[in-house]
Amino acid sequence: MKRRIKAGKKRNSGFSLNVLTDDECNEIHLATLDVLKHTGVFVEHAEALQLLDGGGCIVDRKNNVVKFPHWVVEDAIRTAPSTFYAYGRRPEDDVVLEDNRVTFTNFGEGIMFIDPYTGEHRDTTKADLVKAARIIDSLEHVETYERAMCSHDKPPEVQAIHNAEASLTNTTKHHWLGPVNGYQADKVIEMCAAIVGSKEKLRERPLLSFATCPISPLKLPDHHCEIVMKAAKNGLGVLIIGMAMSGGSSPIHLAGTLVIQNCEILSTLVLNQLTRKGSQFVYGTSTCPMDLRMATATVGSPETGMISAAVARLAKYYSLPSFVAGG
Amino acid sequence: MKRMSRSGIGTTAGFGLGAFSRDELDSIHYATLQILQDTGIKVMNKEALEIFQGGGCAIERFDGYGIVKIPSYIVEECAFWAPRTIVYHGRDSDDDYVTEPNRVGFTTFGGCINVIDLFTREVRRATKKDCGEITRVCDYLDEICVAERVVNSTDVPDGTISVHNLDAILKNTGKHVFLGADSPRALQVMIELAAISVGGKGEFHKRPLFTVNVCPISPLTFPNNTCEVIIEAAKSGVGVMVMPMALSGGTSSATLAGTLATHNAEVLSGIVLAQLTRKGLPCTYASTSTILDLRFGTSAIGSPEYGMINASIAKLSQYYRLPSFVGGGASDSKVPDIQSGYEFTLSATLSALAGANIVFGSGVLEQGLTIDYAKILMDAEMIRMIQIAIKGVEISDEKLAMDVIHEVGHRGAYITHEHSLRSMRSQSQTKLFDRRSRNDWMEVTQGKSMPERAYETAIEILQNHQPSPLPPGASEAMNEIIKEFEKEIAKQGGV
Repeated sequence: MKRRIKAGKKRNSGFSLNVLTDDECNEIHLATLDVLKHTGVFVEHAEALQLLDGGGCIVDRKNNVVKFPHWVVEDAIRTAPSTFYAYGRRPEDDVVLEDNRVTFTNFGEGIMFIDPYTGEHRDTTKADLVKAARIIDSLEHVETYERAMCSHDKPPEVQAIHNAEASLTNTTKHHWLGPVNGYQADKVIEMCAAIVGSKEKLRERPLLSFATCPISPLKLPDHHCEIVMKAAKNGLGVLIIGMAMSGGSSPIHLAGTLVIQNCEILSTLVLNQLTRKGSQFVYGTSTCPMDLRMATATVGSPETGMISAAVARLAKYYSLPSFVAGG
Repeated sequence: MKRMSRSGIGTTAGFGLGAFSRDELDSIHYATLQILQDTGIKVMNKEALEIFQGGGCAIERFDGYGIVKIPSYIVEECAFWAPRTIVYHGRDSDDDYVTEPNRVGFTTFGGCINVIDLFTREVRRATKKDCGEITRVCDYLDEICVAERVVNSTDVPDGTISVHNLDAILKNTGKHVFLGADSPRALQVMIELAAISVGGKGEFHKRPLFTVNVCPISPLTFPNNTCEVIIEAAKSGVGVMVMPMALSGGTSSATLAGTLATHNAEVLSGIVLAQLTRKGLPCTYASTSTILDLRFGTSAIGSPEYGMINASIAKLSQYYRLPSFVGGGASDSKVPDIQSGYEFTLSATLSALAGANIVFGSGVLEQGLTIDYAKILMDAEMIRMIQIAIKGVEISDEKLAMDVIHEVGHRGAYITHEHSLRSMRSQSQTKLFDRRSRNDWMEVTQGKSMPERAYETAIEILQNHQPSPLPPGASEAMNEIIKEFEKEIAKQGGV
């Protein structure tokens, strides 16, 4: 039997989740602009305050509070790239993060470890991190690498540098790594430059992105601002992970939590884009509810998945790449 | 600040699965109509052949069976005659379950033959006693909206199993029951039992307590018994649930789209037979189709494809505006372990997001052969979590609570705010899943594994829970009917 081609018919190219409508994303956006304009964000860093002031924000230097006119926020959303190129050390490790493309990575960072040999529950060490990085390097379906553990056996002031060394030498995948402060951020950048040849080459193919977290509610601490600006200046991408706890450090209803987190991420985005327009920026979340009966952060709850799904949708609404908790 | 109400904006009433476009569902529908019209179905029962013929289908008769080709107008008419919504009545109206598009409920897997013994933990054949006890645990669980015949009573004479199953179930739950019937005669006896338990035949017809599962054999075959039971159920006004178990790559196409088309053909022809026998008979669109794992030769009900096929079937049933009863949550693991948890979550979540009216599959292990008490309890916990997730994130003035956000500002903490206290109960809450800190967890549970704690809960439920009572004297009358029926079957030589 002849079955001729069918004229344009609508198809779904896969299963997807119907999360928030455009109208609902708009509601969250407007509520966010409202909070940023009227309540503003607490910013600790002097240079950041100056940049935000120059960029059109209203800065209260006595109280370190920054209020954002709507246009400042929306300009920053427009100038941030919608595609993130997660370069690896080798071209075959490169991954494109955009729109609905889904990839997976490991959790980071674990501070305790179940020793696979003894079964003991103990602090993580640099040697453990080396092994974790190698294992993740071998896993085909983990496309990028997040610094999995902390080098507890090294002095706290330089742990991030040790983390970077243990990771960079054991996997060629793109790294997400928290440098903790400006000093260590500089050192990590030098390490990366040494690997790829020079700072210029690092700018072309940054094999590592900085990860950093605001503090809920509505605070951009000193080190956070420092890292965001350093990343932009050196051509590295930055991953901002919202870490609100619904019912603890953000509203108990998920709608309100999405607004608080959005304020923190978008105000950071403004700082990032004012430092250098067009810097690579990833919208992240590791927000979960606080179980008010147990007083614990419940990363295993259905709400964690619901928040992450809503954030992925919200990032899509802003045409920003997203990095959300799940699993 | 004044925030006046907004004129209608588009909102989502929950999370849902985006699966097929209308065009794609049309394509499956047209493919199905062509299959039914050109290839037809194999029917192995004379009365059914006559009913199909009388309804306008083309019949070719062979020795012992006939090929029925169903014109598309008959398929569409019959799908239209079946009721849009069904109330699955329980013995008490509290247990009535209403199906409407996207209302999602859950129940266990059905028809298992083994059980993991609650006390010895050995895998053994399930008995009538098990059938009753497992049903009692399901009666207790709010997360289970209707009762499936979870296990078969394998310790009773052949030909009487379905009657014994129903007897055990009715004595242990007031929820609506889904189960198969061994024969038309067994179905008549089952109706008698159910009538007694609900207070008489008249009452039973107002509140039919059970729905009959019928299974066509893939590909496209209606064996004698399936036809007989559909016809008898239709004549007696008992609803039918048509549940093919196509195995993609074995008894249906290796591509999922092809499997959906033949699966759809099998369900719709079952509905045609039911509607031609009695117009308006409640029909439930069901599925437990999955893939045949070609490496192991097993029906892989823990596979992602199980979830994908069954979520698709839920979407198809919505296309026909029929209530759906689809698989989700089944497992291939042999013990209630991590594999069984992962498998449950993926396929149950897919089917739930697709808006299936009843997602069945909790409690089951080993490709559907074995039921486990701990698994039933653990799955019930996950069902609660899935039900929270499908509610989605509500975006409204009330939930955005902007005044609270401005008030708390950058310095305050939400945990001490009255608004958090007031809304605390909107959070998900766990019983078996542990959210304590490591130290508290060790102190409270002594590190006891979740399955162990679940087994203990099951024992407690069995010791303490009593289902809503049967009318006085009903239990004895039911025993009498069964005794008579056993004699009748023995006289016929066992079948």
